[in-house]
Amino acid sequence: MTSESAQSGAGRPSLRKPARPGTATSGPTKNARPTKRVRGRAGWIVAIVFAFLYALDAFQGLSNLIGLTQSFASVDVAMPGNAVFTLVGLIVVPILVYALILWGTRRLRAGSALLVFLVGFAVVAVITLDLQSLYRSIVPFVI
Amino acid sequence: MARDPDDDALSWGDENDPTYAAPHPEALDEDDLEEDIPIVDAFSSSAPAPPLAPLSPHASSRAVAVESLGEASAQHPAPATTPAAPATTSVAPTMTSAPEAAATAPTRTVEEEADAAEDAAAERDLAAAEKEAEPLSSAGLIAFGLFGGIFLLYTVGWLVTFIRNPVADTSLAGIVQSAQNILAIAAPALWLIVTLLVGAKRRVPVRVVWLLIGVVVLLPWPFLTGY
Repeated sequence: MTSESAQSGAGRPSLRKPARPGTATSGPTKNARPTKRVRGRAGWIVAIVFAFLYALDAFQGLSNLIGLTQSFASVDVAMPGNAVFTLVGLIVVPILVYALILWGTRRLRAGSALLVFLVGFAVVAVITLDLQSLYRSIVPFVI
Repeated sequence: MARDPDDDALSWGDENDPTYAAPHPEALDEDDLEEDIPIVDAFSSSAPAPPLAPLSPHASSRAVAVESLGEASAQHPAPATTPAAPATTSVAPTMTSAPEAAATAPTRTVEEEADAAEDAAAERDLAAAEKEAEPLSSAGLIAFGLFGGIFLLYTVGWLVTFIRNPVADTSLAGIVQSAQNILAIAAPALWLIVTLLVGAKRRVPVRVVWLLIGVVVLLPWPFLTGY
């Protein structure tokens, strides 16, 4: 009997699949309670693709800031502070909106996250046009 | 030669049959046995067992063992324990009936609990489905229609802005600018649709708050200021 129990005790760990280090804590927790949804592989693909698009907007804002600063410097005219604020806003807004959406869609499915990222991209376009309009109202001439 | 009762037309096979002959008691089934007939265990060493067995299993086995011991000691004094073994085995079925009954009771309660849990889950699912399927209230419907109208006006405003400021640049900045103009035209409709789609399971006030945020964010500022 002792040998049987020792044999079964020795054979039990061999039946169990060794858990991967990354998923060691997720197994029992999933069975114990319904865990919150996390971003899957498709969700991350959507996030990365939209990261490039948002980065394009930010790059455009950066090129605007550098180009207009150089243009003002070339004619020895100081750029108004509000205009600098709007040009910095053109860089910051895409990054800020992307970060907010990345945090806000962490529990959503990939399809819903794609829709929200698309709306965010449109919102970035709207705010960019708003800031450009604001800049034109501050600097009503073209250098 | 006895007459075969099956040949008789009045043979019913029971006590009302005039040709009925009671079967031998050993050939009776358990269903035929009356309650007052004592059950005789054929394997017990004490063949004429009392009809009512004592409730305590230890006492009954001890009594049977003492009786068998008495008989065994009269014949063979040395192997005193050997006759006791069949006596205890004969008592064993009466002992296991009680734990079996006790074991079936918790099983029933577990099954009942499982049934109750299934019923509760089904009712919960039904309530959730009914809640999802219930139509919008009139106020919610009017609010969504109002926001739809506002967003339609916003779309017209962004379209007018796009017509006012045409982009003829073919560089990367020009392409991005054109894409932003087109996205700005589509932004109000996208916001309305995505809010109603993604927030379909949310409450109406939550959706209204998100639509209010859209009204503030998507304001066509270039159209209003003229720049």
